[in-house]
Amino acid sequence: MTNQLVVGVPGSAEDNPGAAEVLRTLRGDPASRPVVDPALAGGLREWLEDGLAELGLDPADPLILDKKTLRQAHSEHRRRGPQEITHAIAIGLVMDALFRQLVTVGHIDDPMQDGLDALRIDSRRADAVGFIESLGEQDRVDFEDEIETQTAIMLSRWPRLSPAWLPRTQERIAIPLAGGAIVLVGIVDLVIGAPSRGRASVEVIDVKSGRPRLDDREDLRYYALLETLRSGAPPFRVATFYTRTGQVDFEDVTDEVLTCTVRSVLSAVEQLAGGA
Amino acid sequence: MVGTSLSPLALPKAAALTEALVAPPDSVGADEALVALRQAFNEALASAAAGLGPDRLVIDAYRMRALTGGAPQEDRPFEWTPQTARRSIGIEAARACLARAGLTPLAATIDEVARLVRGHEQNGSRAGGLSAWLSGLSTGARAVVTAEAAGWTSQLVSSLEWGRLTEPVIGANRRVVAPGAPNVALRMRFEAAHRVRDHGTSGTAASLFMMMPGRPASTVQIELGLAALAVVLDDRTRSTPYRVIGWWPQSGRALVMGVDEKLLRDTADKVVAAVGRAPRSSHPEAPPATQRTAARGEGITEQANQSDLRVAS
Repeated sequence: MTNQLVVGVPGSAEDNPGAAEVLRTLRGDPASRPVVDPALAGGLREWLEDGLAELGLDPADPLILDKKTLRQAHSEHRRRGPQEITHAIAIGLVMDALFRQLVTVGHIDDPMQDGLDALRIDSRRADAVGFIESLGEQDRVDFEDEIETQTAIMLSRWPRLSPAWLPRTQERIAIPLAGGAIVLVGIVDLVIGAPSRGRASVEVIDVKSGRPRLDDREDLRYYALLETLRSGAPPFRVATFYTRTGQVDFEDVTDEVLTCTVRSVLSAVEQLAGGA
Repeated sequence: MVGTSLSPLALPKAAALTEALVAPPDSVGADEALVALRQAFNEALASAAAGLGPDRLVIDAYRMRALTGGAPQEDRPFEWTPQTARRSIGIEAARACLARAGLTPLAATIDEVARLVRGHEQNGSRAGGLSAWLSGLSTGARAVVTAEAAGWTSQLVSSLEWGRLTEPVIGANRRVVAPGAPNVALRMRFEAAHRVRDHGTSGTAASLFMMMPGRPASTVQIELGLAALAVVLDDRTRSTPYRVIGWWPQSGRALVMGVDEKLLRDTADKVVAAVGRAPRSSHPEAPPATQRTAARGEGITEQANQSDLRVAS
């Protein structure tokens, strides 16, 4: 392990083939982005409302559904209560913060320090800060090593985005349904693209610091549904950027992707409401 | 819920929101009726505020939610956070974007943060103010504040088709003190206003646009009504509100409410009732009320703290 600082700026697509490849993947072919069917979002919402109405949920005690709850509802090993901070989760939170910094101000000075300071200013991250600060000497060295390595990969692969694409980081979405008895929520790492004027124009990007998992696509689809319900227009593409490898996994958003996700949400709420 | 929800299917959203904002008024409150409403409100408020302690009680959307049972009320000292700072930075950034073609929300936000830091470093600034706080932040922490503000600015700039607004106001923080109750202040804010000449008076009629976090709460009518009431009570604006639009970009919901005498009277009654229910004892050790309520991210600004006090008569 070295304590050498990784100082850098994101890759310019002109002189960095890796960044250019990521940029191409994110943008796709703008000419092929679909025209928005204005009835789709309304249809999805009605489908959800109809399904939820049958469950008789109580608006006084709203059920909040996020991507983790959704995943757990479909899992045999359901866990309740706040998530315990682990090494992997702490790495993920620091990398999320560094990604946000890179997209916003365009540089990272000192990955470990910048990342920790970003968590410290957010009181909801006190447990993660506490976890990192309590690491033993070798664990802390390993932690910093991982952060610096992933930051170096991110800097070498993440392209500089045009500010005209209105990049919004940690974008919160909250969709109340069934008179407020259920709220679908999400915090999306990055949304780019101006609001739709008739053609799909927005892309949703999730950042992950761990190894790719099958569930990652489910997270993306859930975000695609949230964005569709919120804005009335589906995103044209959803993608995961892996800071561990600098790779991008993406999926174009189709009607089928969204309808499958509606089914998944309804089934999850049924499980959770029934306590099954 | 009172008011009309904009169709979530209308695209582009900005066109639908702007259409609702600039549509001509159905009616504008008559001068005589508004004068009578002011007078009745001032008298009722003076009576309700009797016995309050020396600390100024600030009535804003958060406090109204709390006092009408919509949310638990916590009194904790104000502190700057990325969430409490984003609107102050974002309003200035939005103004810059709309004044300079081609300037993006992200670039404008970065410029505004740099301007605030530079101002503090070169000329100093009020202790506890936004500039001083930003100047003391490290790179990582300041990036979080910039990112929060940039997201907020992007949402506001892309919410409306700004070129269609006449005599637009971008961002306002107002406080109004009724003459009979100097220890009570109404505080309101809105993100934009479209103004038209009111031929019945020498002033203007205004349609207000408020951008709010999260999703509409059950107290939304009070929150929107409070903005309209504060404008009516604010003598110096000479503006009569005729419509208020609430926009929740996180949930994609929008609510349009016409401002009529009934809405203003209902809101005034609720304010008076809330003041009547406020604790009577004073707490000398507590921070000023303006600081306590600002902790809820209601968007208090340095300017509002210092000088933006209007007196209704």
